[in-house]
Amino acid sequence: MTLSSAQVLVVDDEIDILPEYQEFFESAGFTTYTCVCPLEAIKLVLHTPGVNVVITDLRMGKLDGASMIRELRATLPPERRVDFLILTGDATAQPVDDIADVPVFLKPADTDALVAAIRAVAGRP
Amino acid sequence: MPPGALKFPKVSRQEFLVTVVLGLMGFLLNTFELQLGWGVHFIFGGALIYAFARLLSPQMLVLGIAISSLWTIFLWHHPWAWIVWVCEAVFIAFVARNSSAVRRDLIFWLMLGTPLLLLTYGAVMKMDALSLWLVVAKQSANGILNIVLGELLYLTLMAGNPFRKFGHWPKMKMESVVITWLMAIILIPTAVYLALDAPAREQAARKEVGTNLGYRLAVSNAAVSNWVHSRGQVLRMHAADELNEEGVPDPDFFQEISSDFEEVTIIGQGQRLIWSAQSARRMVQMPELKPSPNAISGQRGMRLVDMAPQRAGEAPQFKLIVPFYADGEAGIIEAKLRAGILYDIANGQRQSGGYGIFLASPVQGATPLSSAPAAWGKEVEGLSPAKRMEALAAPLLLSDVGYGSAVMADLRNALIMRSTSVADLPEWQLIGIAPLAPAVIAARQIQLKQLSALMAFCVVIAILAHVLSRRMTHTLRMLSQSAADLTATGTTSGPFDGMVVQELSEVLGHIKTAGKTVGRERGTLANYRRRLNGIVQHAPVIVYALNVSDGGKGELVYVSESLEKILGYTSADISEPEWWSRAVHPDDNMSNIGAFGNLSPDQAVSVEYRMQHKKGHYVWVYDSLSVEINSHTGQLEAVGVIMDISERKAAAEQLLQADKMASLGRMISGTAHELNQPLNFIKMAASNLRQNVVRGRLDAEQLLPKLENIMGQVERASAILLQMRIFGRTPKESPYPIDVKSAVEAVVAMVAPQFEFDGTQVEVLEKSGPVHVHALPMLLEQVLLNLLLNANDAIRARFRPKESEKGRIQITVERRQQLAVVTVEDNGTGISADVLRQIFDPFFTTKPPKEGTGLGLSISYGIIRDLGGVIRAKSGRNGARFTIELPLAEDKAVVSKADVM
Repeated sequence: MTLSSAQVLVVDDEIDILPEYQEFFESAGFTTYTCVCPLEAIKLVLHTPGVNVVITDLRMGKLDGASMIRELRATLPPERRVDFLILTGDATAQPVDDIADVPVFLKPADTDALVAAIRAVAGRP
Repeated sequence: MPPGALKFPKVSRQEFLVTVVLGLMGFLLNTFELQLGWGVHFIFGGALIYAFARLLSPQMLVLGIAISSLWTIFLWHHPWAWIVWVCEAVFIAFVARNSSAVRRDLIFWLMLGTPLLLLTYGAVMKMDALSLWLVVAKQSANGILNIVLGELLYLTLMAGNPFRKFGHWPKMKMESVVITWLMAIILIPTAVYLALDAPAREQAARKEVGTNLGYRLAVSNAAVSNWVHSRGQVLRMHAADELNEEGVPDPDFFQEISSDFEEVTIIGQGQRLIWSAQSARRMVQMPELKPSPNAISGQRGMRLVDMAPQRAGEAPQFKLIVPFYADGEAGIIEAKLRAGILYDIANGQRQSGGYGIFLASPVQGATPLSSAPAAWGKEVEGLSPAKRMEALAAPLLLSDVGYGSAVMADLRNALIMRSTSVADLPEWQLIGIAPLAPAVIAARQIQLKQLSALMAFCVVIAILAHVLSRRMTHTLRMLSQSAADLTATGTTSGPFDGMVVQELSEVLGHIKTAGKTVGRERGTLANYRRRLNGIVQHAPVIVYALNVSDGGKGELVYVSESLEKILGYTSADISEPEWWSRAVHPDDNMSNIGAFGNLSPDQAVSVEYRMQHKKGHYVWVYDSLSVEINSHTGQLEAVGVIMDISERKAAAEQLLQADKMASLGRMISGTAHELNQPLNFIKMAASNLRQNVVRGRLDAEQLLPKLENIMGQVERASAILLQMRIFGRTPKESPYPIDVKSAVEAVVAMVAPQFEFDGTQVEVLEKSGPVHVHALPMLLEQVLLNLLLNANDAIRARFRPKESEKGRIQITVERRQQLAVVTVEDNGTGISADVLRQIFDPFFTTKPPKEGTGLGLSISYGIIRDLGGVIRAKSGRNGARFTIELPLAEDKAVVSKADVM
């Protein structure tokens, strides 16, 4: 696991799939956290300095993914670098405005591309 | 008097002069009389004045009549006729000027003329009853005839174009025309007949009286002759006895003849024997007076001679002269007649009255031989010798006036004279005189009957003419109206006041025009009919006509030939009873009979059903029937059209299918999202499994739950797809009672993924327990689906992207009386008034191209209408509300959708 320093948080309100995400990203070599609630996910990111990649669904019960990304970007200290990835089943979803730079991956996930993207952002200086 | 108080209209000088000239002409015309015999005659001056009654002012009419009638005073020597005729003119001129003059005149004579004549001729002139009534009948007939002639003259003048140019000739009313013609037909020939007949009758009557008189004269003549000869014979025999030597005279002879003779002188054989009634018998020798034989022989016959009267004015004396022979020597007897003996002889029959006989000589005057009025004797004495001679040949009318022109009363005193010469009394004549009065009275009785009957007939005719003219006017007006209607000119000539001929020719013109129009119209109509037949034959519809009986049952009277093209049946097939009922699809039959079973006027019924083609397959038809009352027969008639709508039905099914597909498309984003969740899970799980396999970690305990999860996710995806498959299916079965709420819930389940995706909340309320309608679940669901998806679109348009959680849709299911009511209410953008107007139109959409088909609501509208309900849209302040009303299905035999599936 030395190849990568990526610590990944997966946020999805469908609780059944979280273990599969966990297993998948860990087998890809990332330290993986999962969270079913976006609000808790924000706290988790703030309190876990190692998390540098957040993968989130867009449509969720209490807070949608886009709002969560904005909230985190606003809250995180400037020296903390966290990259975001969106993984959604909504083919029409297109992030706008300040989160337009966030890459979007469609469900069902293209696993190889997802792993490559995480490596790309995590491997950056 | 101020000018304004004048009652009559002003009369121009010219009119006054014209009236005076007319009156004078009438006066002259009056002198030409139409003799009706026995002193009765008609005069016609009034006709000329009455001809101008319409052109003259009333007072001028009266003036004209007054002038012309002056002749009657000269004619009859009394003013009464003139007064009555002027009254008649006043009545005609001023009373009831609107009605026919003839009728007015008839009324005048009935109401005023007759009483006036009775008063003047009867009470003042003391005329006898017969003559009086004759005068009444004659004057009224004359008056009416004058009016009739006047009207005829007016008609003639009016018909003559040259006259019409001058001035205004008012039209003559139909009643006047009819009554005038009828009266003319009766009166004129009657008057002509009477005028022709009367002289002959009068001649005959005179001849009869004269002939009777002749017989009486002959009898008297014969009586005198007999007496002369019998007495002469007796005297002769006695003279012979006196003068013959051997003769023995009868001593009582003179006593016996003393009743006849006053004095008898016998002269013969130188003797003169004189017997006198005073001196009895005395024979005197008078030789100096002995007559010569020649003188005696010169007077051979027995005869009467008159003796010169001793004093003037004395009645004439007669003596009987009898020549005789005694002993071969001639002698003569002179016997002086007793006064009055001839009267007794001539009057031997003792007839009294009726006639008178006179013995007359030009020198000695007349001696009555019968009892007769003294006036007759004077008549006889006054006769000229020429007239006496004339009377020998033929009866002679003794009157101071000529034939026929006598005043009626005078003619009654007229006498008929006949004379004959007396054989035994030369120079003298027997003159008979008889009054004409009995013949006149008999003739006047006939005249009175004739004229009275004529007048009664006139009254009847006037009444008939009145009725007839009203009918004719009515008929003509109708005719004119019809003619005007026919020509479609809309013009009708006014009231029928004028000469019928003119109006009839107008009507004829109308009818001619109408005839042309009708001919043209008929041609056009035939053309139309031909075209219409062509259209009906070639049109892809069946046209039919029914006569509807009282029970509402229809009898087919016409079917277009296109029946065979569309349904395969020929006219022979449809003549079989009940063919229609048998051809209708069994499933549709009940609903059709319900719609067509009880037809009432002004009703239009449209039904769609299936009919069996003659070849066996079924054809969807649209049958539209409208019922009307035939205004002529009062019968109900129906005309209908049957259309083959199989293609439309197929197209409608395709359209419904297309709409369903469109609905699915509108749900695709939600559905895709919903499907992506399980797919994502499966992919992640499968990926992890592959990793495990690669790494050789095949722990069953770890693998099994993963596989179970994968299968669970496949189930989840299948459930979503199954719902869509069911929905996409084309319905083929017939409607049945369904629970409305289950349909609502099925749709809500169907849209749930999309709504969840869009964040729209749906609430379903069932307010009055389960509600059932007769429908196919699929169709009702399609409608509800369209409404929910539209509501969702409206919500998304209003709230997205920021407040997408606020969208709310409320569906209410309830029962209102006999209706099931479903409302779908949203809090979206609502509907503008413009859109609301055309919201159910096909292909109308507010969405951008490619996003909406514009068919959803149109199809929904059609579905609800086919189910016998209505769908309404309403826009409130807070979104839109759609209401569906459907008839309630009976509660029994309710089948839920679940049972069918």
